[in-house]
Amino acid sequence: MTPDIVAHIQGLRRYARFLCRDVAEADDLVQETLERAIAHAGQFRPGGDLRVWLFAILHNAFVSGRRAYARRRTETSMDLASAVSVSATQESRAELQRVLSAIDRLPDERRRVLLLVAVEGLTTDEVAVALGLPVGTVRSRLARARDSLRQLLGGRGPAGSRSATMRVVGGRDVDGR
Amino acid sequence: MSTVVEDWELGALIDGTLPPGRTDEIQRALANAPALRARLEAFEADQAALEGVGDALAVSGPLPPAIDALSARLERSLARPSRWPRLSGPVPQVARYAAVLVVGAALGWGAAASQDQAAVPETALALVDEATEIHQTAALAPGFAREASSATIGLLDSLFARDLEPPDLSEWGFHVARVDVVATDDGPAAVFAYTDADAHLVTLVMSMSAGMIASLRGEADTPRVTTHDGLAVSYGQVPGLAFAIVGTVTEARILAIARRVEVALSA
Repeated sequence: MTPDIVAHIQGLRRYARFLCRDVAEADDLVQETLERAIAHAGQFRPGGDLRVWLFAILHNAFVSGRRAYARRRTETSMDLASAVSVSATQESRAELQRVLSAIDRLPDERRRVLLLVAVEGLTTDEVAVALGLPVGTVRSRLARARDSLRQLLGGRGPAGSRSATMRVVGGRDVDGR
Repeated sequence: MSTVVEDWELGALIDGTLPPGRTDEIQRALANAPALRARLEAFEADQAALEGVGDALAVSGPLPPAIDALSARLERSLARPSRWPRLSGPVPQVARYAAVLVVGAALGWGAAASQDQAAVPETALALVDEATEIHQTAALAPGFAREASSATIGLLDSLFARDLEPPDLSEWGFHVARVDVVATDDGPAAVFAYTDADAHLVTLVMSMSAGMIASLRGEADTPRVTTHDGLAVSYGQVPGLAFAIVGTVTEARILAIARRVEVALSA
């Protein structure tokens, strides 16, 4: 297999974990995505963006089966914050868990756009294609997601000033307030 | 060009996806606007935090066997000659959409069995079946259609020599997102794909072919509604145009939407 395909699949698996909150369910979703892609491989346009096409299929597979995925999610809910790599330093892990907890609290439609752009590296145009939305909708959702995230992380302003307002989501403030 | 910098532009600036001219403008504005610099720095801080999230949750190592096998099959499937002709430009683009559906129909897509054919007169079945297939294709690969804009809608107007303003379905939370032209057995059809905030898709297919319109002749009390291939479908006609609207909503809702479409297309 080409490295590109493997990289795309690993990106799909990561995004699916965000959607499903369960590693096994996420891999089931990726399998369903690949089965659909194989069935409709003839519709893939030569020169098209394979990654965007796969994300579009994955999104549609998730949406069309989301009742089942949502039901399973309540039974097996994975805490995103607990999934942070053990190789991270304690300090960076705490920061990552804080960011993940904040992402977890975003409305679904904002979280999806934010993750596809900021984590998976898609452009807003590509996200519009993958989610079947107007690009203006993607941009406004992305702006709102970033705004909400900033507020959830303590309303931090420019870089360098955030330590004064840092909060632990779900716990006490680090400065003891 | 505007000196107002929107949030999405700052995001695109960080992502490196902003057009060069606009990038230069914003870079110049940043030199004299501390507030704008502060906004950009906040964006950069967010981006740095999110990149850390991506790295921390990166999925690495060997693929699970089932996914590995499917990935290899996909790669082989994509290596086969595509059904897409290598064309470019606006009109060939339309032809490309047409080609995939013509080939699809040749492969039997159009012959998919209906789960509720009894509710649909034989004459109207072609429209219902075509519309359902178009909806399913749009749901699978929305990127094949074009983003809805006055230019693309204008292209439809000129192709079909008719004013095809998308009906307003905002009452049900649906907004037109994409525009398409597809080939049916009875000639080209125009398509408006609507989505709501939850990414539900409703597809409006409009045919101006004499055969398709004739297939609904004699149908009383249109629009009518049925379920076809698990999808709610409502269909009807206005002078010179047959239409069908398909979606993963209830029959009652798709019928209500179709009534609105009928009024809008008659105007």
